[in-house]
Amino acid sequence: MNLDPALERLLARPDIWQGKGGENLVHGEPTGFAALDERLPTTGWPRGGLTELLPTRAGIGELRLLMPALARLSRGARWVTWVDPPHIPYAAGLYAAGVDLAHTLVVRSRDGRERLWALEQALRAGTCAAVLGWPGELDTTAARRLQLAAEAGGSLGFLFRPPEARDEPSFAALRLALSSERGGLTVEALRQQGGWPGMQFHLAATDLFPPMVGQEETPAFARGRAN
Amino acid sequence: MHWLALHCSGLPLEVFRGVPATVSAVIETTAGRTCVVAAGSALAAVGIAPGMTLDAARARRPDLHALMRDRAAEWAALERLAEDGLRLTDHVAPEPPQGLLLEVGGSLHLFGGLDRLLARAGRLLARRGHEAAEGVAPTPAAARLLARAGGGRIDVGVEDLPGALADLPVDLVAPDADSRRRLSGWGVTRIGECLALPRAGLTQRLGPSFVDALDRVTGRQPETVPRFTPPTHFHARLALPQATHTLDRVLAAVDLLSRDLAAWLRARDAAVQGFCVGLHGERSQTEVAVGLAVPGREQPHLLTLARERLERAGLSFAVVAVSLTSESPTRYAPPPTDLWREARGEPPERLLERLRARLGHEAVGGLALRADHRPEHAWAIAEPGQTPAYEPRRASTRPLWLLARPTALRTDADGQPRLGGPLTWLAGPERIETGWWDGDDITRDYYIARSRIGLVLWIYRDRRPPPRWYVHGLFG
Repeated sequence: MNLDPALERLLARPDIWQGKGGENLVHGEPTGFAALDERLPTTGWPRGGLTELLPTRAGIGELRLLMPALARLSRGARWVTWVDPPHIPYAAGLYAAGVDLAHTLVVRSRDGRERLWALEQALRAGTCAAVLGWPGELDTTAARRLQLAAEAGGSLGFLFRPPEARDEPSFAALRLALSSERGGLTVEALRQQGGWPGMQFHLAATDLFPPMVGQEETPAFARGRAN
Repeated sequence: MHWLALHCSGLPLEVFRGVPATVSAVIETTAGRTCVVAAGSALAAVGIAPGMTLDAARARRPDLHALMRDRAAEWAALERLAEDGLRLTDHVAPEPPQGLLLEVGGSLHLFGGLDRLLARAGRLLARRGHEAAEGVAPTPAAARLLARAGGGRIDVGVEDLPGALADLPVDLVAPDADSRRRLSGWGVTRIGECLALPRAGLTQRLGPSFVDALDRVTGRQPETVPRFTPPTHFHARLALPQATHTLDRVLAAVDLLSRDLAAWLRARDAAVQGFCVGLHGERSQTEVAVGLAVPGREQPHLLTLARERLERAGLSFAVVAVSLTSESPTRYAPPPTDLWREARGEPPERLLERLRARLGHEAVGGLALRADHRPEHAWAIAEPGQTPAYEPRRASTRPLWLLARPTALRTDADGQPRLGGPLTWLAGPERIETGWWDGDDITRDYYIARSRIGLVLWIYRDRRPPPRWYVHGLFG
């Protein structure tokens, strides 16, 4: 569908109500990276579905990839829920990335069973705009349950998985392998509903990180002081 | 004045839930004799009636299921019925052991006549699992009398009351066995015959209390009926048919109690922010507090929360009774609904409550900023959904992840930090030197660097000796 980009941005706003059928205009939640949106069959993160992210190493920028969408979603009326994040989601960093902290929920479970329960509850509730989960091991039944919960709740579910999960069967609407390259991220679609796998795409560091961090070269001043 | 008296003859039995009601009998021991107080329908069919001794009843029906009378439960049930009665009129009085009195004259018009009002009262009773005989009369005593006689209606004014009551047995008015014997000895069996007797003689022979009772029935002597005021807290207790270790049985009881709580709250247009489920064992008891993020009263939701909390708490002893106590009710604010969107889903606090009920209150939190330069003090766990207390105008470059404990980095021969190889410096230094006032002071130089495998790190050098490098956060 060819729409004026300004109009399309307007329609993507969570606080603008659209009449029935409006959902068909926008299939997905814009990622905030126009070039990535173009390459996804849902033109963004799939709504009411799971997105699995498989970075080669945790921390190479997989969370950055979500920040534009999370920042936008957090300004709506629904929660952005983090279930068992591996470190402390840093309020100052999230704020700097534009996230409204008032709608953030951080959930800490005690074991794997509780974690899956909390994920399912959050995905199914329909009151979470996005749910971020670090489920660790995930068997087929659990993966299927979570996908169904996301469909029922209409939430965006993001699961961060280890690279070994690549060979496991997936029920997610979208599964992306992420690797670090030249400071940026190389995104490879392992599975995408309504599209062919194999899409590859590079996201530059300057797009991904805040201006001061996104540069490639070593600043001389930093070097000198560091000694 | 129109008085409606309800007489629940089966109340002693009805307060026991989950028992085989038809073959059960409620017994009570008075003056060394154990007698039946109320009996189920299958027992009544073989002639077991209130007043019969337990032995005699057992002789007729050996498989009889005997239950000790629970007067506290009966009183609680009457109180609940009285609260229900407040929906029909503002003047209600529970009359233990088995009666309830309502002044319905003022409500007749509102409910569209006596028949409709009685039908409504019947529905209220049935919802709680009770049955009652209904007596309607211009005086409270007459209404009571009719209800005890098995039901009846007198639609005349007070002046014609003696005539309307004339055919009823006089035993209903006589307070004790002695006066009943005397009356029958005189050949007086009907109220009408009794009223025809000279008053002075009656007073002399049967005592002033009998004549007073008679006068109250006929309206000659006015009667003040106290008004029932509903309790400020909800408290109900349910005895389980047998001691149990099974959570499902306990939850079934909580389900019934939470329905009562929800109805109680609805009647007051109120909601609660928390309630307490009490588990009572033979020797021990425990209380489980259930909290709501915002005041609520929807029964399925209350039950879900209680279930999560109880599943988490577990049962450590055999439970014989379950109680439910509410906090003070607050005003009910219905969940705001979107004018445009179809009312879809639940209010956002529900998820928070469910998660907290199962995982514990502290397991779910929000995030907030704090006005502190020290990175580890610049954030705090906050109550989710609250307006932030502090928001800086200008946000400095900060990582998305903060490590709970800074990890020390190895250094190479030049004293440069390494992580799987040399680091690429991206930005820095940013000196943070503060916190002397609370003893947790820091003096650090922060840098942003990229490791060989692509992690963007927030690292610092501790400037206090010995100077060392630490990773404190991750940008990705």
